[in-house]
Amino acid sequence: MKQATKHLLVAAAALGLTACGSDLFPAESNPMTTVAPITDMGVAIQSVYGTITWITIVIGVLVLALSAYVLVVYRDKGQTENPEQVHGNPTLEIGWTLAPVVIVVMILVPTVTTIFELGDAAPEDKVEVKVIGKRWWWEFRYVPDGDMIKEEIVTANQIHLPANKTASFLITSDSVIHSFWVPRLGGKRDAVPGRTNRMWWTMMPPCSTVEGGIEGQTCTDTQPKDGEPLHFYGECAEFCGEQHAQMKFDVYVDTEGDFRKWADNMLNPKAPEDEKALQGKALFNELGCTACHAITGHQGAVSAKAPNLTNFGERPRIAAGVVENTHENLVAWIRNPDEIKHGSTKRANISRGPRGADDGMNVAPIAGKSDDTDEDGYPNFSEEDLDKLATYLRALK
Amino acid sequence: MATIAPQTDTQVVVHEEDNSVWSWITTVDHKRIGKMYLASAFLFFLFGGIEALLVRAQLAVPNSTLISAQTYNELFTMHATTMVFLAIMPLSAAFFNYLIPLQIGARDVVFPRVNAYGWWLFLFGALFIQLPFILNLMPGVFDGPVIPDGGWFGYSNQTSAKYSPGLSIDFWMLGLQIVGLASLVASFNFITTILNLRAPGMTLFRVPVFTWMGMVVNFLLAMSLPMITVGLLLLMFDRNYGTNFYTPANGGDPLLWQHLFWLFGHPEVYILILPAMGIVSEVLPTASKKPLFGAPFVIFSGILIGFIGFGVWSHHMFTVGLGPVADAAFSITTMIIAVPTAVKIFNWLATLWGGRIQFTTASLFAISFIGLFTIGGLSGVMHASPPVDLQHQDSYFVVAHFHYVLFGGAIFGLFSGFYFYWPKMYGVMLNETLGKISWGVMFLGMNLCFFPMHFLGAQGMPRRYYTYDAGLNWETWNLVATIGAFTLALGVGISAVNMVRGWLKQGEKAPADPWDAATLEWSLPTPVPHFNFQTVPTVHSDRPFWDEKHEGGPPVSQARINEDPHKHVEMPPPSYWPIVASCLTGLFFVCFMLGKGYGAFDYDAFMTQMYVQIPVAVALFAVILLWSREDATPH
Repeated sequence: MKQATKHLLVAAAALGLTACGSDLFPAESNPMTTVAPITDMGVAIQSVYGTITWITIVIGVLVLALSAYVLVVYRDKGQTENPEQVHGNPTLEIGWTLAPVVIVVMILVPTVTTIFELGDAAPEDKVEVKVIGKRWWWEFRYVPDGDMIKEEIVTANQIHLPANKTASFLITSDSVIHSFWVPRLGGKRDAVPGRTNRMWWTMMPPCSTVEGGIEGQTCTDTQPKDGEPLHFYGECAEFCGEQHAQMKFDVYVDTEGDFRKWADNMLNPKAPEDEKALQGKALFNELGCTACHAITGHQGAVSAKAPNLTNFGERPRIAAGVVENTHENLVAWIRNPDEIKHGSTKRANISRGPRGADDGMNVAPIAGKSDDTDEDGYPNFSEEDLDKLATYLRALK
Repeated sequence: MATIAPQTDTQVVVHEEDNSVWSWITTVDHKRIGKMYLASAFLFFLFGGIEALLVRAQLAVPNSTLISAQTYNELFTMHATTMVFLAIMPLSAAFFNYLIPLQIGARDVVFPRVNAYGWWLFLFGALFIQLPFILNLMPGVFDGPVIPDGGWFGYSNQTSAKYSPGLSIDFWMLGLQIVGLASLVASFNFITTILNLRAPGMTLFRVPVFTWMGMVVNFLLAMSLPMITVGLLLLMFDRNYGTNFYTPANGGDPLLWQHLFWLFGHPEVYILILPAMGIVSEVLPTASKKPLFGAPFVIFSGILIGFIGFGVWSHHMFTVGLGPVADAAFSITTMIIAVPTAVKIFNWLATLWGGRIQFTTASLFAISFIGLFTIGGLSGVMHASPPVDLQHQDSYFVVAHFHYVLFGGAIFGLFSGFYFYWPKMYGVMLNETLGKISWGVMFLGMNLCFFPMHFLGAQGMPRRYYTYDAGLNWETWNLVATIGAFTLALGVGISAVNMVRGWLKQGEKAPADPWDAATLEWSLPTPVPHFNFQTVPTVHSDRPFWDEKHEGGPPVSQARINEDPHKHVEMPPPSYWPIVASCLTGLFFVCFMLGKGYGAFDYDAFMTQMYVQIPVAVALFAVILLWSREDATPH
């Protein structure tokens, strides 16, 4: 028996470790960990999460230990007599009906208070971003606030947020249901077509300035430095069709100064001057890219059908997080989107004939230079054109 | 403590039964129907398992290109659809069919032919749902995917004609209607059987706990299936005839589907788990040679779980933005369910306490059920809290949770049932050595496969991702989970071999009462005669057979109460009308494929549908008329 008890204690200790989520899944090695929060929303969730985790682990270990005890003690030891035929014990049974009620109440009190806390309206001092789930990418539209956001800023698959203000999101979809999730920064909210969900969070102050540290978290710095934004990964959490796994986005938390610079640059981007880039710019019009893509500072490129490409060159990844933003990858992506991300709407929307999209988004008649297409009706771009286009797009920063 | 000598099988004269294929097609015998459910559902279980292995193979390493995104979506959709509707539900139905009449001292169910109709309808629907795998082998014939790819939950408006233009969703949607109707038919049959055909003296609280859970489950089926039927009907109207129930652009609401689906879907969870709980409640007392501790508490908890199960559906929707009041309300109802569930676990442990526990394969599965289900139940309490669920929802944590409930719970309970009831059903003992090896491998594989998914969820990995990037620290646990999945498959394979051996009658001949059990089914000779009880016993307690054997109670076994082994028992004759009627019913639903307007009303397609569907409907009514006019004099 002693040996068994020892094993149980070791097992309990091992299980207990899992409760210290931020120790077991620290942010340094787990970029998408859900248990090392650095926003007020994340910390509010974590405090309920931690309480419930501990309660369930203690109950689980007790029940499993009790089972093990029963199995060892009451195993058939070769007796011939049948055991005493006990049919029940009302006192005991009422007891173990009431015990779970008490535990449930212990869990419900912090749960319900936190639900209403998270449901509160966002503070006034905020940056508000409209999040629109697309198939399969994200559009972000910053609501002008007269201060940091002077006019609407539109971007795709990448958000910048100032560390000193609350980030408030108005989440919806133009297609099917998606779910907006940046695990390190807060919980998820579904993007449901036809309705707008709200969610907001504020970065925690630097851990070292909070007395006693931040609950459920080791002391990692929560504040960016100038020129060194914090980088987080976001993803879609609701199944939304073929490329559900490939609608990822990047979140940067900037210092106030960096954020203002970024916002100004988004509204007044520098025009590329390189010769090849300028040829690419001309091709962007000629090939009909402007039918779908908008680029601030590129005259005539204002369509909101496809991702806004303003300052495309500064985005870390392309095709909603599928591949690194390199020249070769961009060329491959435009040459044949299916190779990077099969089934993407990019391919369907500019393909002619029966393989093209029939959802009102198709721009095949104006895409490409000629009727030269592959068997699915997708334009065959020349390698020279692709090179120029990619050069132009990557020069936008 | 007097122990009565085991009965001899000569006390009932059993005539050699007709074993021809035709006799199985026309059978109305609940035991044969139960066996057919068991065989088909077990095959579907293996098929769904292979789908899961492909999914796990794809996820073994990051950026894997083994399986395409589309195929992956088809695989996880069909894995869940198959496991839920074509494996666990019909495996439960197999035990309901075989056991309920035997446990309550009845000679068959109330409506034996309707029972046969329900079985053939299930088979029709199940094959229809799987048909796309064959059609998929003919590339170019169909435009777009044919294998269902919208998830077993089929969320609108992903399933709309606009976003799922192929035939894939149609197979899923109509197939579910057919198997749903089959379950609905069966549920009325079992409820009326339990209420009306109990042996004299068997009051409701003398009904065995498995049959009690069967009654709760069949009430749940009867009340929850209409919700998904309506949901699927609205979906069919949207897809076929251009209505807009779920289309937000035209004033519809995709969340309507979620409400209808989960109003069915959450009771469905209890439909899946309660039969296993019933089996465990039979196996554990037998294994510990004691009565079930606090049987009324266990039964009332089951009833309570059934009732509250209808009031928790929105806990699947904590992230859709229903507002804090709804979230709080559904969080409270959900956590309340933990109470009756905990009561059951404590009562099972108290049953083992003070017992003389026999470690048979059946009891090993039942005992591990308690531990695994406890883990699954506790992780369920975690995401019953909406703030926590904002991190858990649609992550691998949820996948871990419900696999502990559905594999560690439902499947382990059903496997316990296979080993426990096999001797009664097939007349041979399953090999215990193979059984115990299988249990050990499955137990190991199950924990290796599903426990790491808790970690993956905590690390932020979402469900239904066909691929993931390297560098997120998801590699290790995904690989472990894949190794676990294949281990699990090995364990299941060993049991499958064991069952095939048992089915081929290779093994020790089973005595009538191999486990020294307490309820009426064990008092019958093995093989159970066509008419079950030649003389229907009068029951005086909740453990009539145990009391006869060990407590000097009044006899219930045929060996002691059957006075005339040649007594003629009138049984309903076989009939081919049920299979004909079920095929026509299935065809009636299939006809809806013809009227597909791809999101708009297509007059020509609709008329084509009518030209075929109306004659099918007329034929169906004619068959029902002939069925009712058939000479069904008992023989």
